[in-house]
Amino acid sequence: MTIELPNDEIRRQLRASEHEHAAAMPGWRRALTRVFDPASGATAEDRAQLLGLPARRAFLTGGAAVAAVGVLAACGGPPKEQVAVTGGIPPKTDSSTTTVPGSAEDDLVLLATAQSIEILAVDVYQKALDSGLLVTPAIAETARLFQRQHTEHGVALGDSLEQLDAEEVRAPNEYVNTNVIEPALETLTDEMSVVTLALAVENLAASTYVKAAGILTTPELREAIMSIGGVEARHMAVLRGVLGQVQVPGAFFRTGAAAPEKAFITP
Amino acid sequence: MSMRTRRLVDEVDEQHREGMRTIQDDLATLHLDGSDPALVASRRNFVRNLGLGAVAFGAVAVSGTALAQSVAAQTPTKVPDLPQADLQLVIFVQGLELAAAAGYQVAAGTKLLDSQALLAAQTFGRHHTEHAGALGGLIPKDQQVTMPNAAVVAAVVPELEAAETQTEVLEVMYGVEEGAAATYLRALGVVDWQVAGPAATILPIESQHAVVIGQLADLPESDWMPVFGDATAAFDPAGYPAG
Repeated sequence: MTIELPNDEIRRQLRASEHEHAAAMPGWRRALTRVFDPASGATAEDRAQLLGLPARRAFLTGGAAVAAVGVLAACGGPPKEQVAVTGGIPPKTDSSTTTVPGSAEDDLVLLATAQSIEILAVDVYQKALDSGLLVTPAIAETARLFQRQHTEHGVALGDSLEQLDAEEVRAPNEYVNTNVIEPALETLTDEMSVVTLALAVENLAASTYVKAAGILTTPELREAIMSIGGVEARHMAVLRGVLGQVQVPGAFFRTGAAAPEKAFITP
Repeated sequence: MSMRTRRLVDEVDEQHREGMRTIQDDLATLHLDGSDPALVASRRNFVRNLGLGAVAFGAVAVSGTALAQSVAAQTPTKVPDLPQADLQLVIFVQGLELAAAAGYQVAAGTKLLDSQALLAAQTFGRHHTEHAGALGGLIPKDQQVTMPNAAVVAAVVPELEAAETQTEVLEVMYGVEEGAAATYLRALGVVDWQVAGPAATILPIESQHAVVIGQLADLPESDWMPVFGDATAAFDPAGYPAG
């Protein structure tokens, strides 16, 4: 499959991205400093959401993603105690443990959350196709392919839950849908904005599964989740290529965009 | 602005852009990655100090001196206490990563790759070297692998040297990438949680490599976009002894 994009359009998008990046960096640095100040009261989840923001920035606009706005608002407030902001990012504390991180209950939550994300992805691709904005036949066909694959992923995860005597999930992840997807859908303007949204959903899925692989309690479950996670990563590479981005930007897959705890589903 | 100054500015600008591509993810990993902090610190220090030009892989004879020095200098004093089977598997995969890096070196040396494919080969070769360095954080110092897996090199290099077109070169490396991804998937099905976390951060990258190489080689989409990952193509330690 080869996606042909006009060079002028690619250059225009790169310039727009540069300007956006330059405008965002001062505020980003201030937010980063505040949230990592021990006196800020920011939780680990707040930090996670903040660090995930730039990856979703292309489809988060003003008023979108309640969680994102809430984090930024908290970052703008005064510290809980009247102490000076330290400025630098504090050193990471030693949080190593020699005990297995997960539990049987966590396994069920992770699998249910994963299934809800797959259903969400199917839903998002359908909305993308229904939007009428995917005007390039090859891109629309890619969306249909990925949608079909996510459907099969969802079925497989449901089977895993059933084997563990847990109830499978039948609805899209409500937290992500309400706080991220629905606001983003209102801002879609063209084909590339739709592809950007798709990339963000794939990143959410892949990041969540990579993180889950380090928590799930059995090798069989880890292999199963990453038999899916690897494919979501492949989806990302394709979509990055469509967007004119570097398809494999780093040597290690980062999990900054993983689903937050508020999105977890308990079966 | 003089030509020299302009060139220096361009170099700094390019370094900045390279850094900014992954800064958000680098920060996320630094502050939120729940894996062993010694592993994280070791991996970042190793990557920072190894450099792109620190290791030179010849077409057949491969020198691991620079890599050995870097690994020795950066290996943390404390590594996880892994089950012996897991340790042996990690050691095998470290050699596999070095072999993949060596393969890309040879591929680039064929002079058959156009600029886009050459950039991919250089980048992905670098990634594999970084993977090998990161896996070193799981291996005691005296058991570190500093040479590419000899059997994998023996299987891959002759095919690369015999290739007459870019497609033929890329097809060989595509096989290596799919094999690497499959190897990590198979590993996840057997190893302890301490290896699973790092393995899970590398498998997606090998998968993405396979997509890019598959696209460049114009392979059928069904090859590089399966519904589920599969461990069938995994490199078997028994079949690929380190030598």
